[in-house]
Amino acid sequence: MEKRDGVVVASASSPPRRRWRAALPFLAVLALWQAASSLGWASAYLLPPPLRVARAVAVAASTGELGRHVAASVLRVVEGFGLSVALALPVAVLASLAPGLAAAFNPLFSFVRNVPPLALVPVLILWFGIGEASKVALIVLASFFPIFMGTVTGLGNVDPRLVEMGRSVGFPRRRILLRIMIPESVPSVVNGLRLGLGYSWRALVGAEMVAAASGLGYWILDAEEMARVDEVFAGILTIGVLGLVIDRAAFALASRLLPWAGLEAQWQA
Amino acid sequence: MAGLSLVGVSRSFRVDGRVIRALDDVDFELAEGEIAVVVGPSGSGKTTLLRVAAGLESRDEGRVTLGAGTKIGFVFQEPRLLASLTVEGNVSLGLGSRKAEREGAPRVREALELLGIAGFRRAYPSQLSGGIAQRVALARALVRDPDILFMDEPFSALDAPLRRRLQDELLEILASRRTSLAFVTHDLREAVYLGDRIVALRSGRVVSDEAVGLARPRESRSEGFARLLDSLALSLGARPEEDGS
Repeated sequence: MEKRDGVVVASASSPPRRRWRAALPFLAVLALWQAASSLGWASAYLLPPPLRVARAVAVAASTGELGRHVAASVLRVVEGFGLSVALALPVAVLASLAPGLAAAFNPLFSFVRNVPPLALVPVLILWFGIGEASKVALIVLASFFPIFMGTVTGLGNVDPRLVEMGRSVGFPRRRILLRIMIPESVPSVVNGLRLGLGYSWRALVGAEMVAAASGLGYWILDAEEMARVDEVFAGILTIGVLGLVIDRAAFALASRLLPWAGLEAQWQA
Repeated sequence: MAGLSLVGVSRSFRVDGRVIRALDDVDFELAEGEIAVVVGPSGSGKTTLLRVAAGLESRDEGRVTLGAGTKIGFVFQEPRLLASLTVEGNVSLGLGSRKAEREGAPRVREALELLGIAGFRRAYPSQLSGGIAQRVALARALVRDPDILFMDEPFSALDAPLRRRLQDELLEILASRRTSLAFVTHDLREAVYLGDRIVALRSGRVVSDEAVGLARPRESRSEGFARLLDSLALSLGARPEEDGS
């Protein structure tokens, strides 16, 4: 950090250098994987060579199978995560405004939070059937709490001196919430959203492995039953790549919308 | 009426089971256009006095009278800027209501220019130095066009040359308005340099309340300045070099 005419200017390493640094661990794992296959450290059935997996991805892409599974999974995440955001944000604001109510509900929330969402799959199937509703409900259960906790933590950690500043300029309670507390809690909310998105993805794939006719989880399980290990790995890779792409896209969008929030350090953690 | 009057004000706090009497039967007056500096060592109750007067703190006893419709501005020891807003956004917060913010762009620009920070209007607080950030806080208070400005040790975290420059800028700004100023400091030199009147507090009680008869601009090496400094130090039981603490 350097200071120029009263303004602190951040200095950072160049983007190509950072990209290269981020690619290195991937390349190392790929090299190790190829070596394990070429040198016979692992059997091709347990660990198919990278090229065979790449071919499986290419074949699935050319037949449209990959696109169909990705679209089904992404749509479920969009629905479930969107519903979670719509529920968790207002509930978190309400909990922050009414700490007594929040304290009363805290044990119940802790109880639900500590039950792994996948343990609820049989119940959700009983209640909602094997259609989309049970999968969306599972995503909501998995992603609600990170978003809720991120928002509650953010609102609770707003510097009380800023709230007092709001009072000094005559802000009523509602305006203090809208103008000071919510904007100041954004970095923590964004962190909760990011975690919630990751949890959505994980829960979804689990749900698709139990009861689905499409989606990446289904594709992996189906390939395993047919002993197509290269497709199993292709499905795993696709999930990882999609997760990474969504995470980077979310970072790019958040950094653009919230340049002041210092999200870079948070995202690199 | 833009004056302020506190009569017989007391305020206690409970700290670790002990009751601390921060203000004990304090009287304080601030006339229109006057600069009253409240001075005293740490824990003397000067910040509590300012906060009670501005309505940020309740009182246990006594009366606070503020003219009807009197607008106040408060500058804290720290700038208290919102990280999510640019300098311009932070200053516009001072306008108070949403409607005033919508219509207040010219007033915000004027305040930024007055404080010499128009060039920083799109910067975020994390990009600002301490001096600029404190100017933004002052602009946020002044954009309200306050009748009374309360300032709680606003320059204490700044280095001496910058503090001196901001003191001069503050006097210049006040000279062009009818704004009254209640200014808290532990620095006796700052008190004598700025004040029309100096109220000295010790253990929550007013130990002296004197008008400063020195002409402006004040020279800290002048005989009158030094005499006043000595007299204040005597009231507070401290040497001037100790800055009253």
